[in-house]
Amino acid sequence: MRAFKFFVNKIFLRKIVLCISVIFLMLFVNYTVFSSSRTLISSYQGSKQMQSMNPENSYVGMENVSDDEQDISEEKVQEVYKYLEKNCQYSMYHEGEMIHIPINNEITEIPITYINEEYYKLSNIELSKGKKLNFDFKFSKNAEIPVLVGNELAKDYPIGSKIKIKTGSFDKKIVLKVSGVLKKDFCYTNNRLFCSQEYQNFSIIFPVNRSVIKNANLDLLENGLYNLIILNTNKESANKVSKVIKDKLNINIEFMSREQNKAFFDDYLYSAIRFIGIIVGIILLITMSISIWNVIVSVRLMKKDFTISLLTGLSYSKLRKILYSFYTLMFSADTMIVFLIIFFDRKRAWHEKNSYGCIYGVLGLADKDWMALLIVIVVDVIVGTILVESMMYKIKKIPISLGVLQ
Amino acid sequence: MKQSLFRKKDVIELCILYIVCFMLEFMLENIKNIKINIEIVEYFLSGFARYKIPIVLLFSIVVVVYHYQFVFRKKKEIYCRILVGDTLQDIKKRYILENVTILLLNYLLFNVISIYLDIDVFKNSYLFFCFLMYILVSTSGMKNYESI
Repeated sequence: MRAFKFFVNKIFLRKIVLCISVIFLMLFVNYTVFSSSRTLISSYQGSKQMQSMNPENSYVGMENVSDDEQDISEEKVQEVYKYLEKNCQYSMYHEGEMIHIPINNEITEIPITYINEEYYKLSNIELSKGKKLNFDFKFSKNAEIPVLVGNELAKDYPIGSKIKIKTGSFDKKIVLKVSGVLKKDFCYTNNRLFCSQEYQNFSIIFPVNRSVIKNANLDLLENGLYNLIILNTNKESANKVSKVIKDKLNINIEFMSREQNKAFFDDYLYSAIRFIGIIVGIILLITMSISIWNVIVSVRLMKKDFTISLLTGLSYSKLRKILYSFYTLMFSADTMIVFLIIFFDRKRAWHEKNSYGCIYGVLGLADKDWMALLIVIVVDVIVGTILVESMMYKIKKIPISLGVLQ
Repeated sequence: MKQSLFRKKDVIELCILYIVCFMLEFMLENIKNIKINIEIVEYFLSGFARYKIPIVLLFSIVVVVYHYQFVFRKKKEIYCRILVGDTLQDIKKRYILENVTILLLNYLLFNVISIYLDIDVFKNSYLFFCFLMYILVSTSGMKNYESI
């Protein structure tokens, strides 16, 4: 310990520029590894969640964007829904609509997600309190619609409380009645960008049934069609639905089977891993080369200090231990900085009331953040070993007499 | 160049460091223009583009290290030159001039590449001034070696 303290105070800290450069370079490596790992972990989790929404004999609708002009009107969309009601079992949802309600006496913007019964069953929503979502109600002027709320929202709107809202999906004001509270940190995967998970701690889940569809505006109905899943059916029936939508609205929606969907996700994920792997590989290669150059410069500048210490009884094995301890200290500081960046990033979501980003987690970080930090530590161990061993290799090559003469 | 503190190896070393820094800046600047059609990769890259300036400035520490070790290594040469009649002021002037020439060449090289690729030019000027500042600061370390 005395030798370590001596080295840190009298040798390393006297060349503070070198220490700072190692910390900065490793911070860059740590951030790169963290952000790539987290993207891949959340993409993997997202693709799994998306696949669980696609059971056997189900077909997921995907819009084929074309230049054809769409011919959408409320009546025609209602006709499509009538066809769906009559001929298929389907799941639909519409997300991303924002409403304004008072929270802590402050008007806050929060998201509302519309889901039908089949989607509710598929998404396996877990509740921390209250009853399951009830779809057996009639949407009328004075009706109280039973809804689920996120865990944080439940502090202001506990079970049984009423929320009066005005949304773009209906013409009139509606009254919601909280019937259940979602489990902490429940999230949906964004199906356009499945590395992005949308946490529902501040959300409202609104049940959609036939009477809701009859009274809904075009916005909800049209968006619902882009997120259709036809259940317990075959390719022919799915194609029929596709044809009905095309004929009535001139929108191209292709329905993909479970196998096609799995192949698409696997291929997509594989391409993403390959691209991110190449980018991170190049960044690591450049940073490692610069770090090794930095190590060589350090040895060049500390040649005298190292050789005098070796001459006065310090063994190579003890020097190696000191270097490992010192690098562990610097890498721990870097990992801590990355942790703090993520921690304050998550805290900022709460502060800015970014509903989809608010998360409780362990110490404010999501599971995927912790997993990515673990990968950062593993990479740090490998990089640290390479740097210390290359430093030892350079030190061992210095003839002691030359070092002392310097 | 006869009286220069720089050897061929030093010039190559410094050029590589400038190229790496300018290249990083160039990549991060143009990352948003790359169309890969894989949203996950675009999302991942956008994280880097967002923190472009802090990342580039953090990375530019390698140039500080270079100047620091260069001046430290040349302390005996500086002392000997002063002994044989050179002045510290002249040594500093030559050092700044050579350093700025190397920097300017690299800076212009990347801007010529930008013009050739039809990309916004002189976006990396902040990095040029940052390096210029490092050069000026590093000369202040020379006065310690006037007498050893």
